[in-house]
Amino acid sequence: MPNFARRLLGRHEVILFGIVIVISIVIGVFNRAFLSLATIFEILRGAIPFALMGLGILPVLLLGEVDISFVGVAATTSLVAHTLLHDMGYAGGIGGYILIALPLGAAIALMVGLISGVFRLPVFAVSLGFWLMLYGFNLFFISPEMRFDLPEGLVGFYNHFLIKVQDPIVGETGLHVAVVYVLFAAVAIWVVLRHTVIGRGFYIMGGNREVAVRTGYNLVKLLCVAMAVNGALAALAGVLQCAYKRFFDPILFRGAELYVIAAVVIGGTSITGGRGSVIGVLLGVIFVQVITRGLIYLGVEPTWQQFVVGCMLVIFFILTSLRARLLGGLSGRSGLTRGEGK
Amino acid sequence: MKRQPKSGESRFTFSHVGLAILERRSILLLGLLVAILFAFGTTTPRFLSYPMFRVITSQCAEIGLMGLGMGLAWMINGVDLSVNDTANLSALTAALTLKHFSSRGSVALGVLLLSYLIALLTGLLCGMLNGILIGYLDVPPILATLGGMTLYRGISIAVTSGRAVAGLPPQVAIVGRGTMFGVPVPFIIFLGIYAAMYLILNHTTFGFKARMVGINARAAYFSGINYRRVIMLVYVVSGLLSSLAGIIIMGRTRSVAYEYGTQVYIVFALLITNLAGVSAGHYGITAAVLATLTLQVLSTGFYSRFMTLPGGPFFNNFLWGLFLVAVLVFAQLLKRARAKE
Repeated sequence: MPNFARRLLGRHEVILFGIVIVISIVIGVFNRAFLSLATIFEILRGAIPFALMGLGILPVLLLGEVDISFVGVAATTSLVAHTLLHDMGYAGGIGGYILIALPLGAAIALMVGLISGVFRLPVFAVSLGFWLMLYGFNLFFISPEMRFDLPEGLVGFYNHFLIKVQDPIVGETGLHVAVVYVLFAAVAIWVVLRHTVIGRGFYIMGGNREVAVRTGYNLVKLLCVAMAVNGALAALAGVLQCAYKRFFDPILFRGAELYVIAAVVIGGTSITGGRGSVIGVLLGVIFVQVITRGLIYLGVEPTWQQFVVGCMLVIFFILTSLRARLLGGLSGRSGLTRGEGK
Repeated sequence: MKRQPKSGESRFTFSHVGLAILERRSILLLGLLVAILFAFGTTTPRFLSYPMFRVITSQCAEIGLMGLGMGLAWMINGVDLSVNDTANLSALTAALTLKHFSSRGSVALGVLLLSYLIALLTGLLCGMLNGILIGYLDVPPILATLGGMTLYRGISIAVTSGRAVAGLPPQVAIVGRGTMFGVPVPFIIFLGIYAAMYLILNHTTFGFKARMVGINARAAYFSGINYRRVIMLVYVVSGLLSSLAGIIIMGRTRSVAYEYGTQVYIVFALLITNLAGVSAGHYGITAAVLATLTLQVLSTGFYSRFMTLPGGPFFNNFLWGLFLVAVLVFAQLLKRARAKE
């Protein structure tokens, strides 16, 4: 029996998938509308930017660091791209935005990684400074107001569907085309993490820094790669979210960093680094989306969302900690470190 | 209190090392404070005046109390990101108590004290949750307090539906805006806490144990210190200090909002900790207080300079973010230079 329990508990993704299904069915029992194809596609579309950001911070969390500046990166890059393109009289689609936002996002996040890597500072503290700086920059230097002046090519982007369905309530809806971006990013990150030397480095560095350094891995280099990927994906998420909402927002995603980190941690990414998977991140994001949307379908006020996410985080910390004990993992190891690896 | 460490000699050296670092840093900060005062005093009209003194001293208590809590966590290699949201949640529970019991906008002294007690209790519980997660469940402090922060803010938003609680009885303003002999009450509270913290950290067994855990938790564990309990108590103290900050905020603004301070107060708390040079096992409380004053003078100075600008608060945020990164880098360079010495 213990062996069986051990094996079952070890498969985090399987359990999470089961929980998502069970919760969906429970919500569906109370509100039939939840279990429609339209709702599923709607949840998926809402999950796309969060999935991209979640995939982005996965390598950072694997290193045992926590970053929150990525939401600021998403806001700044999308707003800067829009301002530049608008001034140029750009009328095209999302391509131009991605072309500007992606490198810019990678560059800003790389700066965070470089500063924390070179000066051996916790990424979290530096990223908090950048968080404040980026939103302050948007509001003061670019625009304190939302900008609704989308170019022609971007106006219809929110309903570019791969598969279309007719829903009696919401009308025509479907699987959004941006799912392709997520799939592409997920496969790319999976391949890198799984099959390249540098990808394995993230796991080793998070698992045991001493060993990783002796093996010849360079912490600063890994951190820079992780942050650049993080920034690029966050920028993509920012552009997509603005295209969905049909306005560019100087405080885009402010506060959403907690939801993303919660999703990734719920997805089974180890809170001390060294463990985590692409599938887990995607499932974690869908889990958080199902819960927060499901609450609305159950008639709960949206003001309870953050409370629920907070509860899930705390419960999850307790569960993972107890599971680690049960499996005879770390005891008395962490809790003693801030996780900055000095 | 019972098990006083026997090796008095090692204890003496400990406080000696602490004292040397503390004094050096304090002198540095004092110089910085005077320089900043001089800079603003000569460029901003009426900066060095009694009304300005009142503004600075009555506002510094909030960030100072959160900073002292953060410093304590930092000293044991932790961090407490939930300080601001603990403060807001504590203030909220107090405000709801006051609203419930007040009649015709007035409230009895007993009820006022009861509301403060409830606020402190809230802070204690928040700190305890953080402490259990970090001390007993080995959750990394950044994530544990990030989770705590999300939860406490979530409770505040859910209970108030995201709206501010205003119209509190005028008596709450005593703590936030009152003065004694011309000195604002928040500042007196802050100085009192400073003295208490100084004594606790330097002259009690708990303070000694906490410093030991900060220097080397493993060694502390092998010398028979229940480090898990020490870690939890540290976060409980941090929670209590934050709730006290919440009480002062409630008194000063006569309202409670879940978003008060947002991320800026966490940045302030981190800045105080880093300016004061808190490091594993070493915590100069005097330096932390001086760092608080320096920051508050800077903040008030910035405020009087930039608030007239359109979008001034946004520019302020930008500056604080930049300042945090600069201070972090500078503190690290200072540490390296000292290590080379």
